Amino acid sequence: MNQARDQILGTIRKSLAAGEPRTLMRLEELRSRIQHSRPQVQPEFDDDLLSRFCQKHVAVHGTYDRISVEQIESAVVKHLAGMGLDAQWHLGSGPLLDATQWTDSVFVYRKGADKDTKVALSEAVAAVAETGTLVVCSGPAVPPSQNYLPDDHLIVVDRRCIVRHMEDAWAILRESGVAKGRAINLITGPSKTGDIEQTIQYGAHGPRRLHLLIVEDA
Amino acid sequence: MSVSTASQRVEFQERARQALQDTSLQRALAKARGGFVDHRLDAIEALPEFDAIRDAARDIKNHVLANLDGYLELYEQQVIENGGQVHWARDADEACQIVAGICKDVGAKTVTKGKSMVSEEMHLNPVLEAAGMTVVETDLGEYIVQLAGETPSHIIAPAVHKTREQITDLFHEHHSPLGYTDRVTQREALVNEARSVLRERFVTADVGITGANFLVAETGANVIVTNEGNGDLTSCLPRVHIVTAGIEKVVPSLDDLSVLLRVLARSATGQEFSAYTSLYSGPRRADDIEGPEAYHVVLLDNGRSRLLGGQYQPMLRCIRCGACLNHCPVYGSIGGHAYGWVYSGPMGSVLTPLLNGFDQSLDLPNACTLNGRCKEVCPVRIPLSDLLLKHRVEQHERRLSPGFGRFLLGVWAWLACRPRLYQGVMALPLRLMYLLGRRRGVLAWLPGAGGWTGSRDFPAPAGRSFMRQWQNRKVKS
Repeated sequence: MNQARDQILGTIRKSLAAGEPRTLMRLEELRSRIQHSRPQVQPEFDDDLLSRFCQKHVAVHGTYDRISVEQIESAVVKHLAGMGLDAQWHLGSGPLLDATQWTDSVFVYRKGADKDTKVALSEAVAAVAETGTLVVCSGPAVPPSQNYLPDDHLIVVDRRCIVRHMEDAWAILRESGVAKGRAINLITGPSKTGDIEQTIQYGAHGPRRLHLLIVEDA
Repeated sequence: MSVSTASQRVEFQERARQALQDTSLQRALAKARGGFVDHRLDAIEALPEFDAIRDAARDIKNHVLANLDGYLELYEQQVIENGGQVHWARDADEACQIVAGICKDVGAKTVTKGKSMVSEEMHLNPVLEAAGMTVVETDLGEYIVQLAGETPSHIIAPAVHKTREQITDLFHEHHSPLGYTDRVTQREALVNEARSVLRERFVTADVGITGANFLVAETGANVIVTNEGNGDLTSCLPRVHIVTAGIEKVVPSLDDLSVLLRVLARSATGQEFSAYTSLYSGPRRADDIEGPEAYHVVLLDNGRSRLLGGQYQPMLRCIRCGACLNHCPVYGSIGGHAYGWVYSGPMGSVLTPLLNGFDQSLDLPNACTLNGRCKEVCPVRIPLSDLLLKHRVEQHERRLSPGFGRFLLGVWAWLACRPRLYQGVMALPLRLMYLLGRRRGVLAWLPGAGGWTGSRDFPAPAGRSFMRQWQNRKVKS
């Protein structure tokens, strides 16, 4: 196996006419480029971030409610009731969700989703106004299966977590150390496919619907 | 010309001929045509910075390729730091053995696969099946072609060549034994049935194999971009996650990744961003309650390292968006299977001979009208049509092109170097063709050119050559 590695790297060096192995200094140069990495060309837009984010989210078939922090449970219950669903869900984790005191009238499962899971409630680490994208990072209390197995995925977003560009979300992840977790999931609308006659159908393998609760006063 | 190259030629021409006569295929292609092109155009018109971002994307890829050994080493270090393993494979066979070995070691019975063009390049599925495993493609398009016993005919729309009626038949045949006895014909019902069947597979699989749109040296993550979420279920649920990727997929940082993501979805489907873009690195962490126990990356060379530093290096910038396929009139007429290997369209015509050998698939670089649309739409500015020309030149120089064609070219070159003689020889046929087509301005029939006039008219030339007309005018004035 190491033989294959050496041979491939050797051929690369020979083809690039660099000849001998990269010196440690060259590797340090590349490492330094990574460490000092900066955003490059970015799309410009003036809108305020919240409305841009909401507009982009709706454009990819998402729905949302703007709520206050004490309305989290009632907003979830109301949304589910509107679809004839019971008040039970798989629960992720995040500053807002962890601080919520769930009442006895709802059932929450703090575990990974399974193939029959109907609903999951997650919290976004960041939301990107540029594309209407939610950033959900895996962790001890955030199993990624919750993002993909339920029919209905609900995500709580702290309004202050809405950033302008994708690169701003990376900055948050780097700072909080979650950039190196097992999974960083960028979610932009519900699951869909165009594989039959190039016509979009929602709910391919992942959630059929994506609903956001944007908390304005956290 | 060797026997094998002769048979390659016949095979391509025969496949192309069959494709043109296949009414189902032509119906499916007609349905797809335009959609991708229009959506891409809409997305690009909404982004004034698109060209500047394309330049940045090209520059990032060039920088990586010029330092590929270093970035691969940095990426490898990160993967190991995250608790994963990196395997290096010189060719497809070696890569298959590595993957099969990992699967056997963990006693895998069922393997789910996210979409991976590199695993298609490896011909991985037959190897795993021969080892007694059940392999299930989970991307809906890949699943459809797997049921049909075929290969993908498009990088991002593997089943673009299938009509809804054909999909209905396939599902009915393969799902009936599973209890889905109703014959469903509507798109939504078809998608739901596949969702339901594949869900069972996702939760019972032992190993999940995905590709990688990118590998990030900064974090050691593999990036997968999907709309369905199948790649994520393949990555998250099984005990073992294996990533198969070409060595050229590495990018330095998350910021570099952003640049490439901004051009990828727009060029592929005309979306600003795909539904799911995910970064996976290493196995589950110590305190995670789910996720794979082991994480392996298989880096495949298969001829790529040889291309560095040469005239075809730009091809390694390719991010597999499929825009060149969508804009190619040849691809649009014959579909992907006629190309004979996993990569089709302009990028396939450039890449296939480079990876499989020049004496293979000789026709591919010639199945091109040199209209240049592929080069124009490429998100990383690969000069595809120029590279196809380079292939043709190389074929000629290596005497791989057909002898008769080379002979005619030689005759023409000899004549063209002797202007007086050239004009004398050309004057008569020009005059004749002019007279024949005088009335309609076109020729419906031309001796020796039945291949052309069989499906379209040949424009009739002006009776006298440009040189002659020029001289006449000079005399008059």
